[in-house]
Amino acid sequence: MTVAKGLALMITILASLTVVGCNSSDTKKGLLDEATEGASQISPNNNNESPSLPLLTTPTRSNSLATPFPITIRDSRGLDIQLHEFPERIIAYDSAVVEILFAIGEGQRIIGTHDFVTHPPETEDIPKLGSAFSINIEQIVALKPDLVFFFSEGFVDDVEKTGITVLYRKSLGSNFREVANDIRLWGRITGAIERAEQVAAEFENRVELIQSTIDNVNIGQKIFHDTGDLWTPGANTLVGEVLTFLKLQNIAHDIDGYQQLSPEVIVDRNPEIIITPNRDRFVDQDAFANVNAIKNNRVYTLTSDGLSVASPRFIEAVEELARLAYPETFR
Amino acid sequence: MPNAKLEIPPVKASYPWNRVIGGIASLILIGFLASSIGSVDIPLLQSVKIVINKLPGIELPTSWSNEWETILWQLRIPRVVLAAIVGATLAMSGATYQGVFRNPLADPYLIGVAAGAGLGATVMLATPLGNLMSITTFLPIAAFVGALLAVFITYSVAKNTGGLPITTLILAGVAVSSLMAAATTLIMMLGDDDLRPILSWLLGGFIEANWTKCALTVIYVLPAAALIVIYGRVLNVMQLEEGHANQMGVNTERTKFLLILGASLATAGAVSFSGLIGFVGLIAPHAVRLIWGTDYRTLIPMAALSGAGILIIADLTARTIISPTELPVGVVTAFFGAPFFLYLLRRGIRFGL
Repeated sequence: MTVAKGLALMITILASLTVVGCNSSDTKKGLLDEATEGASQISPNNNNESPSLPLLTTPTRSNSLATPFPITIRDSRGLDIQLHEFPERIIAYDSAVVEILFAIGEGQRIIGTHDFVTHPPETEDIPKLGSAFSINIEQIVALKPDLVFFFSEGFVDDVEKTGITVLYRKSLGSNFREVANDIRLWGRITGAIERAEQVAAEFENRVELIQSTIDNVNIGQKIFHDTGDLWTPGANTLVGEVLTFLKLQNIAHDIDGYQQLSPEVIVDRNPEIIITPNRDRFVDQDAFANVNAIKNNRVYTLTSDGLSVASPRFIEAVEELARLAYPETFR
Repeated sequence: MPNAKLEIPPVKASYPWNRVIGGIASLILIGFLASSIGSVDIPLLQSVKIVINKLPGIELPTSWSNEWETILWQLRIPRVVLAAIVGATLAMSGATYQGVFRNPLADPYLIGVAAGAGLGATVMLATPLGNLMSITTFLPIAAFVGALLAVFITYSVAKNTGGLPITTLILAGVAVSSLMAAATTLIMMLGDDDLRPILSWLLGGFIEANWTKCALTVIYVLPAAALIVIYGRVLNVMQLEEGHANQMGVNTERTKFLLILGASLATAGAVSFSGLIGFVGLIAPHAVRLIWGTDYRTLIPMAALSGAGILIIADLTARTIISPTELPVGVVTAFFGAPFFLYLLRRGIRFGL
């Protein structure tokens, strides 16, 4: 029964994709705490007596000449990972981490990443060592990394067994402002604290700017955010949260993680704005002819894929979305 | 051969029209009920009014919203109709394959149709080719071409000097399917695009149904269905040893070829618009055999009607069980189809073919 086998395989793959795609759905509660907790744990060990110190007040910035080692980082398993020197050779199985490292000027430390990393252009020459679901451990060992980063737990033990230091932190599932703290985290790991602080602060400033600009907006427009084939982010996702932040009403507010929305619901909830990678899918379909977004020609495709990666670039996509939603407010 | 005992299937004097008419009536009822249920609640009475209002020459006072009319007429009903067409096609093809191959496990995807269609769709979705052409228009064509290519290879390999040995055909189908499936996976892994559209397509579904698709599917499927209906009666004779069938004046090679061609064309047409939906082609014919026996003159139409009903219900489940979101219908058919099949096996049904 090849069909049955094929189906089973597809379901397995689909299920695993879904787990990554909506890592917020099952773990949303713990994730936020962990992310903040982990970030605030990055304090030099010599003032480790106050590990709960908030990130910004950790005095590393002033005495950056003092040895900050060992650097202690809380991972998503709740374990403390210790680094005794700045890792020179990093393998990062995560697009966001790769982008963050390049943004803070430490991209040269990356000696390997996963197959789907395409940004920034400099990553083209970095060896691609499999996907998050199938990695080449032999190759990892051969590259002698100082640190391997994963956003999912699958291979953490396997790599740790080879004696390599592994940092495992789930990707952000909600609260996109945490990107700033992730940037600071990598500043501490690589020693580029000041540069990271700049990048993180710029991220936060741009968030603040959008927030203050739409401060007097009350009634949000209804929006449908299609990521392809009517798969859409619910409220408890990174993108769902961006929509809320922009005071837009996500018509898929009642779904969990990323799921495929029924077209009936789209007609019924009648969004004013549609964001989609496939504009024709909506414009050409008779059933959607009376949906406001189509009638008023407000079906857009984002030029940036930034919303899929929780990196410094994320804010660019948020700004683009803001411009599309409020064309008169943002130039 | 005077002492050869021929077990000719009992042939009724008159065609059992009552079954077929009863089947059609039940199907219309199922279709209507399925149209009245969905993610958005539309009162049954309003649904009836909206549909009646669509009949030519009837103008009812409008007491419903535009949205309801759109949802019902542009989304839900085309979807039910497409599910019915695809279900009927898969079941009819399944019954035909089982008859021709004299193998109870034969299904519409047996000789490479599914793998070929999958490869065609994947090429369209995951390679630069998809950027050059409109995916909505060309995806079904690519899937159709892929399916026919697979069947053609299988058939050419199996067809040795004049004969068409069933075992060779099935084995060739398995090999071609594996090759095409491997090529599909390879393309998926090499492409750096989002895999979700491909996976959704491979799992099958009717979320994109509209009237145009219904019409196109019928155009693809109808000639093939006609072929099967015309030659399907011969399947009764073909259940005998081939030698006997030949003696009774049936040109078995040519009939086999035409039936396989018809079933493959029909399946390719159906999956092109709906993706790969498993188990319907296996379950529906066996259920019909269980209830009404193995006379192919009634088996094929009744299997088609049952397949239509089964897929309407499966799709109804897929679109309502986790509303407002959807499940791929292939998951539903596999989830209910596989246990049902095991149940048939457990009951020790001897697959009288």
